[in-house]
Amino acid sequence: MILLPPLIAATLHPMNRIVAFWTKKTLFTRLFLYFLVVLTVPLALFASYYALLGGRNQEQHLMEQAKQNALYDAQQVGIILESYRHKAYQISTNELVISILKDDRIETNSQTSRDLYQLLFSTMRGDTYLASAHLVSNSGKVRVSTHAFPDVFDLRYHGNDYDMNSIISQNPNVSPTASIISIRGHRQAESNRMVMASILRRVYDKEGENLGYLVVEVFAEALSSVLSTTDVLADILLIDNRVFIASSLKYTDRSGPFTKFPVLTSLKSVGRATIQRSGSSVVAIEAVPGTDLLLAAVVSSVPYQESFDRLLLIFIGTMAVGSILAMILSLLFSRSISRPIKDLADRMSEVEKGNLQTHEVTASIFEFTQLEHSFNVMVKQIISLLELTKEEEKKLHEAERKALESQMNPHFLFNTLNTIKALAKLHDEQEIYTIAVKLGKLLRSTIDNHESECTLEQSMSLIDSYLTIQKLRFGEKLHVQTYLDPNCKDVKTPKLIIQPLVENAIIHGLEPKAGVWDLQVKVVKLDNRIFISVQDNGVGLKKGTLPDNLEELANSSHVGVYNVYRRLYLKYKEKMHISIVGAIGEGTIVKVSFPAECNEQRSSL
Amino acid sequence: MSYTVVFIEDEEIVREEIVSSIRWEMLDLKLLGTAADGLEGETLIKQTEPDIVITDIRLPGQDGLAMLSRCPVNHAVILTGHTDFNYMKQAIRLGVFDYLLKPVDDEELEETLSMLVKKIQEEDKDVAHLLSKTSTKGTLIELPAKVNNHVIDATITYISQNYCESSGLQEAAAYLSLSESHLSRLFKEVTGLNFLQYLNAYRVNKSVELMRDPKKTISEIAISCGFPTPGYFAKIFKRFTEKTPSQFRDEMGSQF
Repeated sequence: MILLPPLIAATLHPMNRIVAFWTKKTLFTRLFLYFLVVLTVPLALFASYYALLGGRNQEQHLMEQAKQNALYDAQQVGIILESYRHKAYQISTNELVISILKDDRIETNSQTSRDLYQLLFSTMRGDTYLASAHLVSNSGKVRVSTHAFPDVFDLRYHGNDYDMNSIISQNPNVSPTASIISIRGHRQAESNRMVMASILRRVYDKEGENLGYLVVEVFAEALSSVLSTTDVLADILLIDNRVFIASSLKYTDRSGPFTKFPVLTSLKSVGRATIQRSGSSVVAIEAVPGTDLLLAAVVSSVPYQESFDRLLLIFIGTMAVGSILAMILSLLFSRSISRPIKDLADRMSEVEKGNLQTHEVTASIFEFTQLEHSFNVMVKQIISLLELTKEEEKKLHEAERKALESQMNPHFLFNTLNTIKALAKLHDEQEIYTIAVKLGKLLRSTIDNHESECTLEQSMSLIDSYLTIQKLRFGEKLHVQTYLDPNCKDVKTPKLIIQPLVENAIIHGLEPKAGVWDLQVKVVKLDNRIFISVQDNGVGLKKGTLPDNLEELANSSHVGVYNVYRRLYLKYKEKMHISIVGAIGEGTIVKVSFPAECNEQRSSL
Repeated sequence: MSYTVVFIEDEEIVREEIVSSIRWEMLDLKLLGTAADGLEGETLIKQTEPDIVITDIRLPGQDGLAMLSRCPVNHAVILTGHTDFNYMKQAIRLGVFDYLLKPVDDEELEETLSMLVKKIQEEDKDVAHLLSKTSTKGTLIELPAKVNNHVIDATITYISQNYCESSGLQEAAAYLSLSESHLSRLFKEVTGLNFLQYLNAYRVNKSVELMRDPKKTISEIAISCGFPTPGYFAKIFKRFTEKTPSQFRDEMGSQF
């Protein structure tokens, strides 16, 4: 319990590191891991399938193969043996053979001996390299063979004793006339042929007396030539289960008791028709038909094991090569990504520092090329924006400079007017005094007024100043009437909306006209609307001088009317109305109307 | 009784014209003198202590607004060619009565001056009214101390705590987070006195208290009551008591 906390800490610490590793990986490690997953998963699936199911399938397959081969080979061996048994039967029941054995004598080079050989060879039908036939009388005096008579059958020396396990033996359980097939006579015959099996038959006379024996010995070639030719089989064994002897049909010199064959000794039982595993081999045993012999087909699983091991090796090799490839590829790929990113990041930080030089970098990856391109476009835009800003700043400076240059100091103007006024007063020049004061007021409300709006009262006092000066200029011939409805003197309007109209009336309407000039300026309020009218009896406005839509005056020389229209439109939009009606010789009347938005508050200064 | 005026203007012609054109007597005014620059003007104002100062802004030496801020001026009219916003703002702060633009119409100037005279007369009436009441608390001038308006009460408290500083309406308004015009109007409505009258009356009351100490000079008393100069103190004191501080002290001494 006391040890637990440090234990947890100890286990947590690497955990944290692992978590950190998984959450903060470089591009390379991430890619490498993905590659490994892609590589390992199918390989592992394949390998596990092979390891889990392939082995069993293979064994099944091996057993099947062994069984098939054993069955086939047993059949083939059976057929061969049966054919030689038949030959043995033919010979042993031949009259000539019986008579010779009965006589127990044979003359060499006599007719009978020639007939006997004739019989033997014809029966064996010339395949003396596959089998041999030996005839021996009980006494051993008659010994005839298609080949050299083997000593083992020479009854003169051996006698014939069952119990001694003599070569020629007879099973007492079977019919006395039946032939016996044994594999105990395994030995090397002349011309290096191996005797694989011997067929023994007793020769009887008509009375049933045993006269001698006929032995047909089957050579290895006779049997091995008919066997299935597959290389799959490690060995084919002919087994005599009664005497625990076996001999190999594949390695014909190997023969003897079971102890000589490890495959057989490790079998649980050597019975008929079994398939068993024995060590690294699979053994299928089938009975050879018509005999008491068994045939065992041995299939070695070693090559399969080896191939399995090889597969494992290939798998590991593939893994190794794949891992190295994955590492190289991810290194290359991560570099191909991280390098353009790093380039871009470097350039971004340079741009941050204010270095706006673009240099075309072409990345090998399409997406990065696009990114680069976008970035370049952005930088270029920044550059052009900066240039634009600089240019505009320049223009602004220029405009400011011009404004400063063109702006005559208004204080000088006003102070000068004040001086003129003072001089006029001192010299008792009343008209000069008036002009100076009125002009001062006029200029105050035009050039020195930075507010965009003024009250109608202020507008009218401006008109008064203006008309006072004009009256001084034109004397008695200018008759002026002004009226401001007291209800609307505090209504705020855009400034300079009446004065330009009055100025137009004097300059365009009245000045060209001889005689008396009448000018009326009226401002009234009706139904919460302001109506302004400026009327003169001047030369009159020619029809078509002004367009119906005053907006078209924008770039014309009729600046005064257009400015009045614009100022009113900006404030009142569609709620304002302006009409200019004139007739040649009768004068002009300009009417303006807009909503009265009374503003009670008056500026104190 | 006519009010006194000085006129400061650097242009000789304009100065001459105004001096000769304005009908001073008719307006119940007495022109004490003129000056041609800011420094001369300052001296003139300090010497004559006029009721009204008419001045230009752009003057040699120091500008008109700086000059006004350094002198004990009750009422001023600006006469200038400048409509600079900063000038206007400063003028409002200094409590300038009107701001007239050149070229100035003489009739307009006369109208402004007559309005100003009316205003001063009203103020004097207020003072007279104040003095007509006999003091119950032993102070020279009976001042309302508690008016049941928490803003004005706070203002009065402010005055009682800050009268010895050179603080005025502007500082009081800032202290109370009110606009100067609002405080000024409200103060007049509630107390019947404008802020400056109240402050000056309060200061005069305090000065009377200090006069009982014979060691203190009039100048010391003037400064410690928050008056910028002894001359200004004397002028204000005379308006409330019709005596100079020295005369008042002598008479007071004879009483004890």
